[in-house]
Amino acid sequence: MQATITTATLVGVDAVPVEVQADVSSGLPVFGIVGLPDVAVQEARDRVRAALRTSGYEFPNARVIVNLAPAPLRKHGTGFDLPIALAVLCATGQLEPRAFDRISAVGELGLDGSVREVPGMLAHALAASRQGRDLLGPESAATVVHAVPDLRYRPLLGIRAARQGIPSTCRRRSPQEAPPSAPGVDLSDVVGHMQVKRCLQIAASGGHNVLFVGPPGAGKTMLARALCGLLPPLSAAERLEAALVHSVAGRDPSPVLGGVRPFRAPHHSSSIAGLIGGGSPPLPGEISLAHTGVLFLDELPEFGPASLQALRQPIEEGAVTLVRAHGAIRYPARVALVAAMNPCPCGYHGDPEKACSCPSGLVARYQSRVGGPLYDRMDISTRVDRVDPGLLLSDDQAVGVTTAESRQAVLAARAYAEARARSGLRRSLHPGALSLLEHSARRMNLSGRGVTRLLKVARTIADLGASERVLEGHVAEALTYRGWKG
Amino acid sequence: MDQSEIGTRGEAAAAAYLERVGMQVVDRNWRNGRGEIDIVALDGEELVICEVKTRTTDSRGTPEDAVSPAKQRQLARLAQAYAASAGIGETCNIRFDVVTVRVLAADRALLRHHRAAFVVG
Repeated sequence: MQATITTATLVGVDAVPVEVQADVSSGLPVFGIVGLPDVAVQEARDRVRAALRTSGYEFPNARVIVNLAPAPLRKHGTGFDLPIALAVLCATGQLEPRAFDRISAVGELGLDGSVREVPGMLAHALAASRQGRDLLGPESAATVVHAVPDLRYRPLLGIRAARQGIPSTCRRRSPQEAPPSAPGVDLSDVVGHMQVKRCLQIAASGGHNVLFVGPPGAGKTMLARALCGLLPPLSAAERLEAALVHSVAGRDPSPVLGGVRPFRAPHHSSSIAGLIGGGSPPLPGEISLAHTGVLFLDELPEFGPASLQALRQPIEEGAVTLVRAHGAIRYPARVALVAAMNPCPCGYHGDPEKACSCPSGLVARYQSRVGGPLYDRMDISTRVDRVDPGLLLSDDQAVGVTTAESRQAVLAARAYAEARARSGLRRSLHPGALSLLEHSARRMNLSGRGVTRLLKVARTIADLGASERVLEGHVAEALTYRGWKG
Repeated sequence: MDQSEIGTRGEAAAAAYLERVGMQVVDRNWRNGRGEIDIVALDGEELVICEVKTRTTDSRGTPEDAVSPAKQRQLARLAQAYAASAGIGETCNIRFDVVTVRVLAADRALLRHHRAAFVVG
């Protein structure tokens, strides 16, 4: 007797449909799984056998062969437990096979027959909805999967419950909306640093990369965290796209679904696979987990040169493409990049008060670790100096703008940029601005990319001032954020 | 009493037990060149291949431990050979049971019957 249950396996952030076919025949008692299963899928045999027994079903004392089609596709993960169990139950007549015609099933089984969540529930939900199938899966995932519009979800607590028929589709449970200003650092929490806050505003308005240079303890990390709150609210499509990455990586996607932009700060000892993604089976890296949010690289020169080189192309493209022997996988990676570094090993090079104790050759060597191409991609570089202790401890602190206020300006600038003609970036240049740009580009030996990026920053500054043309002052301000060197 | 005699008595006890619970023993100590099946029985429609392990002490592990994965594979091969030689086709279900006999005293033993003790693969 044979039966087929539809499920899916993850390839990147997509769930590719897979058919689980079970054949039960007499002969030597065998329980075999074929069709390129990985170790986790092979282990399904023991879980399924125990789960069926404890749930009041009978595991057939017969020759049971399970095939996962299409056979050439690699299958991984524990999500095959539930479809394999259902296929065996259908093939032995313990469940009605026709009930599963319009259903895709996914879930891991506990030895007690409970159905558990697997990584990528959102991807499975999206695939099922595209195929026009209902998704049968763990009860605990019911809230998360409803981020996918038009999905009919049938939650299953344990495989025992399937005996009473397939559970009916459950009411949509909308995820909790996060407060509009994401919890984190508010700009007004950071004392002083007026110029840096301005830089963050420009970066948030135009989507520019930022480099902070300053001594330890100056507040670089706090300022980077504050950028998340400045960015405009995520659209529904962006939320789903970002949540998909988190779901596939086995993390809780509900904060992103609630509208909180991710903030990722990988340690500088992270491996390349950890940063851009990789492994077997491949998982998204930090840069993809930061998709739509902020990727903060603290202690930039301490990152290995290979790691930094590997980050360059994804930053430029907004996506990571991992090519493996059995195909290419693409993870989204559109991030606001914030990097921070000390100006020298001791941290005080260029400090107005404390002298740097590093030998002069060491400073240059330390700074050169990052490499020109990456410096070139940092549109806005700024010093983050120590705040005067008097200011820090005084009662009436100059808090300056709050995140909410600054965000208003960001939203206005973005709306303005949206409204003005997208074309003719060069033509919107005021003649004075043009000559300043040309002059500076020559003097600073800017690359073509350097000039374009400088111009874009100047354009964003003009947008913040609701100015249709880019004036000399805008270019001048943009120039101050360029070409930092201790 | 030497080792082989203990084994033989254990197998006799196991066969008597299987008959008592309603199975029909059809063969004892069936062997080909590659090994031996202790007991072959019929339980309704099912062909039961039964391995008997008899022990006087647990000092070398329990008798159940002795049915290792390698032993299971050997029994699977023997079962196929037996089915072929007895003219039993693919239509018959085969089951692997294990009976362990733990000798406690000269006239006392503890017998355990593991139905469907393992499947292959």
